[in-house]
Amino acid sequence: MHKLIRLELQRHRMHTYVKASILISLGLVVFIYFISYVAQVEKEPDFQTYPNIFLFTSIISMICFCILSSVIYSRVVIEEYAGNRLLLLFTYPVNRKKMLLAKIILVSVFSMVAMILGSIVPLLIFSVTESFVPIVNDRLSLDLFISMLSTIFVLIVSANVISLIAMRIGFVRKSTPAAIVSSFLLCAIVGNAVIGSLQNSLLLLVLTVILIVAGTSVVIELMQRVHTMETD
Amino acid sequence: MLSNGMIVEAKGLVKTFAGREVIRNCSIHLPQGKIYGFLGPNGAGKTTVMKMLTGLLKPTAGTAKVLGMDILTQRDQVLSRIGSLIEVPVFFEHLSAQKNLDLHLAYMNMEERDASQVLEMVGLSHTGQQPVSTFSLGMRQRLAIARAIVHKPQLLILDEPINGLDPLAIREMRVLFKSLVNDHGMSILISSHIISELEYIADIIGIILNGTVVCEETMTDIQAQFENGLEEYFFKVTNGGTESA
Repeated sequence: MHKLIRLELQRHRMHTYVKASILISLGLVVFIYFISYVAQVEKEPDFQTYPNIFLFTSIISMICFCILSSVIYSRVVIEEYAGNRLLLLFTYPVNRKKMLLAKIILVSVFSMVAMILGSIVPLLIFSVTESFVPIVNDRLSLDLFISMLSTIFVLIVSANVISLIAMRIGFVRKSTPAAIVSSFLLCAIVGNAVIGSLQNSLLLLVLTVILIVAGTSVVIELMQRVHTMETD
Repeated sequence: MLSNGMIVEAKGLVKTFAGREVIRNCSIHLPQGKIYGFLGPNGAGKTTVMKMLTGLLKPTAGTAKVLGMDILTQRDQVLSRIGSLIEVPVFFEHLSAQKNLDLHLAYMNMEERDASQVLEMVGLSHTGQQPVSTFSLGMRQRLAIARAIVHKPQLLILDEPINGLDPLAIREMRVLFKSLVNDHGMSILISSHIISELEYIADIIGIILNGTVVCEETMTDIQAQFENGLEEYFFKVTNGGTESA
């Protein structure tokens, strides 16, 4: 499996996605300062507290990384299992299920690392400058960071499952736009579900378990499908 | 173990797409160390048969043994011992020819092999770090042939391999195919629209019409029976003997 993932890394231009992740992260830095500043100027009460600012930024981060993840899935999975690329893929004497799993592991681990760094770094930069030159009239605390970390964890799980489901939809239609649009729509649904459950730990746990089961089911079903798949 | 010395032995192959029988009762016999020229009009089913022999399509009925192994149950063992070029070849466009072949070897579990010798054999040793996206149609075809042979397979399945090649390259490939059989002990199943090309290299000719291989004949027999060689034979078979070339 390790070898298959290493070969996938060589085949795809992952550095493009690293650059895209850095750009998203930079965008989030700009975004977090922008909403904090505008909220102060416009006296907007919702964004004058750190929890709300952090949560909103994290949700935006989830949407951006979901879309990035769907783009990577499109290149690494959807396009590889369509048309003539499939002819090449299926001429390797490699277990088809393992090959697909290697691709999914590559994309999900990449997305996870990108989202952890991409979400946490902007929040850290903002927190550091806030402790010296505050824009927001609120108090930063360690508890806030710990609760933010658990929220980000749920959002990362959500982003992974959303992009997996979106990839599955794109796979059926052999279409990258279908995957990206599905990803965007699913973000709206799951994002709201996560925000709605944030105050209730049990509900959040149930939601996370449901998401993990959904993601695992998509992977297993797709592995079965690929195993018996034929070329056009 | 090969049964009767046949490296490819397909019996009663049937393939249906959406209820339509594209391949029916199709049988192929390729003895080891021979070149099998696969001829047939467009849409007769050459590519479909080749896809079934490489495990890309599952036969609706019938059996296909390649290198003495069942292509359905021993697919991976078969795939590591055959090289194929079917339809328009695809590559990792941003990588060089050498890197493409290295990756192929890695997937074939033969990382220790050196691809540079094969690049030289197909006339691509000068391409260096040039990405495949900048290659001409002919260069891509040469690279596809290189990829099919780089892991030293026992059998080559080549669907229209000389498409896009100029006359000089066609002659080079002809020499290469002959040498792969004579010097490296490979067997080749090759399809082409150019009848004269197959006449030069094939030992056995199989003609497929409407999804069935209607005849398999050795080139020696064809040349002995038909004054104008393979072309006359082909037209006789495809027109039911009513017309000759």
